[in-house]
Amino acid sequence: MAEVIARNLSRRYGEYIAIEDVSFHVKDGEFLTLLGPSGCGKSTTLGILAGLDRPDEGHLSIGGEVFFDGLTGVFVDAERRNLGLVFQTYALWPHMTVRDNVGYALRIRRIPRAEREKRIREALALVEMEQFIDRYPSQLSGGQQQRVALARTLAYNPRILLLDEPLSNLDAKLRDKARSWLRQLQTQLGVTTIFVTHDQIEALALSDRIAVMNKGRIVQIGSPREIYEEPASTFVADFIGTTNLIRGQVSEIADGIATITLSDGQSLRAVARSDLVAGGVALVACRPERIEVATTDAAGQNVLRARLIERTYLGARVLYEFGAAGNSIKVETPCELPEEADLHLPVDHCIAFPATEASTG
Amino acid sequence: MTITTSTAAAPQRRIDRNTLVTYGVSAVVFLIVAAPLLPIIYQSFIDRPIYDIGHELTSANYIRLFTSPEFLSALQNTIVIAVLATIISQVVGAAGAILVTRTDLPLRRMFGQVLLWPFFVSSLVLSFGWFMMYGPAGFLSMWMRTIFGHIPWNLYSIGGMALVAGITHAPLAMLYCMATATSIDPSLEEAARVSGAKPMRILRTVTLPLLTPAIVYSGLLNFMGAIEMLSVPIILGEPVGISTLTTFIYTNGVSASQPDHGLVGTAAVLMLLLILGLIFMQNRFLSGATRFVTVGGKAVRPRILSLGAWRWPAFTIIGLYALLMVILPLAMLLLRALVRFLNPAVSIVDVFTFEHFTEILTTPIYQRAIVNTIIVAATAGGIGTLLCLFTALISQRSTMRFRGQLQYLALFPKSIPGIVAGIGFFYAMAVLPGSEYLRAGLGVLILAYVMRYLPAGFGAIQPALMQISPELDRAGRTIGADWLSVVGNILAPLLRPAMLACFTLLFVAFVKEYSIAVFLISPGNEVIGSTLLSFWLHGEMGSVAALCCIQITIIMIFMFIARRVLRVPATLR
Repeated sequence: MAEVIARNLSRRYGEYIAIEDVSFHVKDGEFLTLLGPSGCGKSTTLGILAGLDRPDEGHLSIGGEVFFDGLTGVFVDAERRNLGLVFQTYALWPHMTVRDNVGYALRIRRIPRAEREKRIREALALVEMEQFIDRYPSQLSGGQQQRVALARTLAYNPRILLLDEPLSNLDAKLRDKARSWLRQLQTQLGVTTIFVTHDQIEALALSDRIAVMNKGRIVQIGSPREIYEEPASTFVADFIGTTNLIRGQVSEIADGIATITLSDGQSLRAVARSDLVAGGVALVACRPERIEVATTDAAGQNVLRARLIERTYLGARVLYEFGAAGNSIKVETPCELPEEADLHLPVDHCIAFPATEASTG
Repeated sequence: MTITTSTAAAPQRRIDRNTLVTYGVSAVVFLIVAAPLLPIIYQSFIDRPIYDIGHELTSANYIRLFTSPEFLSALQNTIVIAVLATIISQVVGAAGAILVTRTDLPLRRMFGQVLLWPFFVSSLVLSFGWFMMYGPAGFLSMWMRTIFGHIPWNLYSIGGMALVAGITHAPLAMLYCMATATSIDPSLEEAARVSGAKPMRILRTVTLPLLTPAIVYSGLLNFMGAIEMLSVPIILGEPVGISTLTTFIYTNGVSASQPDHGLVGTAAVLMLLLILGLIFMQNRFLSGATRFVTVGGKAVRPRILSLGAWRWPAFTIIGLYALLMVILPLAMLLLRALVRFLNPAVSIVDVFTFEHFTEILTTPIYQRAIVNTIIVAATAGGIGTLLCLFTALISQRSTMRFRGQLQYLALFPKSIPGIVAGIGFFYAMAVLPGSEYLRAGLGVLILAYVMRYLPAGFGAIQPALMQISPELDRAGRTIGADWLSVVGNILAPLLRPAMLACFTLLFVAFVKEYSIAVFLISPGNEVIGSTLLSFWLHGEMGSVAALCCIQITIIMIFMFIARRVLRVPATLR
């Protein structure tokens, strides 16, 4: 299989910048997810990897072979890259049976008939779709079509596997099953995989590493745990899961811990980002499930007094929305909380970002 | 890994088969569109026929043309006839479409068929039918004279020409209006009814305004069609000296003993500019047309409006129209083909004969004209379908640098009237070296037909292509198929119905076509249209009628095969 090296890839459509300065390195056998809101450039990036779109600048090599280089002008067409791409709509050819869909790539590669049939069956066995070999795509359910689409790309042992939101057209139950099945299959085959999604749960569950994209750039790249626990910006913190962003003034920074004063005079301590300056405005990020009610022995705790605004019953948990100094603070817990409470926000789970980024999301 | 992976990092070959095909097709389209246009423009600026030696540039042709009273009156006649014909066709088309699709008119299904007949019959054939029925020596005219002592109408007039031209163009208006009328949300009409409006008022104040875009759009098409029409003016105008732009070009370029190509080329350039201007207007109208959109994409089963007291009066009017304007002239052709001569005073049984048919079917040059027509229609239909397919694929689904220009080029012949296309190829053959081979056979006819109908064929394929998700070709590309393999294995099979529809459309159009051919016919290369004209010039009305019947039969048989055997969907345009 192969490793993927992308350096400084950029793609513009006239004035519009689709992606800019995108660089990453995917190790052999690794599962990387490109995650971001729609329009962030993740599908453009995938198209460039597949060779369906030509970037304006940068460098791309897969498995040691240069597929694009802006300086030397090298560009290899999609059909010469030997990659596998599974589309969001599956893109199964409606006029061909499952056998012909899966076998088409082998026919292009002039594999003899007997060998071809054997490999079609192997690929279909891998996705447990052998019994549907003579069906047409229109006779299959969405989940079955998705498996055939995957078999179609696996049949010719592609260098790497590119997946463009392949689970998004499935209903919720099926999606959960398909997700774990996909991960098992990827581990079993050991194929380098790049997966595009806007669904953070999918990204967290599947990936070895996640590259979060926003406005055409990669804003953070790291393991799911790093992305979730140590977001590099308020955008990442807000996009992955739910987070509270509490606004205040930085009164001091000491030993990497900032003290933030809220507009009503209360103060919070949080892990300071390196670009935070004393005297500036900060946003403190803290996950709702990390917040609890302060114990009676409040010494050394990071406590905020807040008033309950709304209570939403979610079944296993209850989502409370509190208000403090004009900030909304969400708390997710199975416990019953009072109308007015001292909330404890553990310092290691609070991150203070400078509020230069115009928005909170 | 049993697969030999591609040698991708090696420098790519600049010219592969995909480049060859995309650029090759584009070059062919460019050549067949440019080849006829440039010589016409050149001809309009030189002092002698393009095939003579020693050209000198001059603007004298333009001065001569604009000071020629014949040309100015031809221009005026053309505009008047086109305006009147468009009004007639739009009124008939809109009324027919509303009555047939939205009301409880008796026999509405049958009328829906009959009113569209002129679409399948060439305007030349319908003109002959009218000539034999209502012309100065026509069957009904003579009958009128016997009873009243005079003929109460004059077909050889601006009004007569406009009427026949309007009738031949009405089906197009009707098709456009029917397409819109069947998708109107019936609740719009029901709302008016609940508010207390009577049926006729609903049709006038709700249904008709909703059809406005269809009426205006098809009206512009019909106006252009009436301007470039050769058949009606040549049959009904020439005998009394009423000329139009097309007959002006025809008489000065073909039938004159000393063709004046300075005038012909210049008149052709002006006609081209006129149609270009109209197409520009049409595009302007289209870009503003979206605000008219009041109908959803859903094909709702339209509920039918009861005409009430108007049911039978409406039936009578539409019935008389169908009978007098469409059925009788066509029936007349069949009758005339089966008799030695026609006179209301003589019993048909006494003059009954098959000789016109046997003469045409046994005389070699007439046989040849029929065979040529079928060969040209099938070959040009096949080549045209393939060319349109590739043009659509390249312009919509390739990365070729000039794909935008290619589409523009392929749609350009819309603005080239048939007779102008004919002249253009005639001039091109005169100046291009080596073209005598093309001229000797049917080659030049096929090229000219293909060129003129590129936009129509493109229009049959492009919408179907837009229905196919581009992900299907991208999937093919990532799997390892190059552009041509994707076209051959994925797109072409999915476009098969559209290709069959395109071929059907082209075949029928080419069997009917004659105005492109008038400048390109040489002995041995006659087609049905040109033979009809020569029969008519020699006054052999029985043969004209018989050949018209044969042409209609060829089209009917082909349509039957297309619908039943090839399963072509019933799209017409």
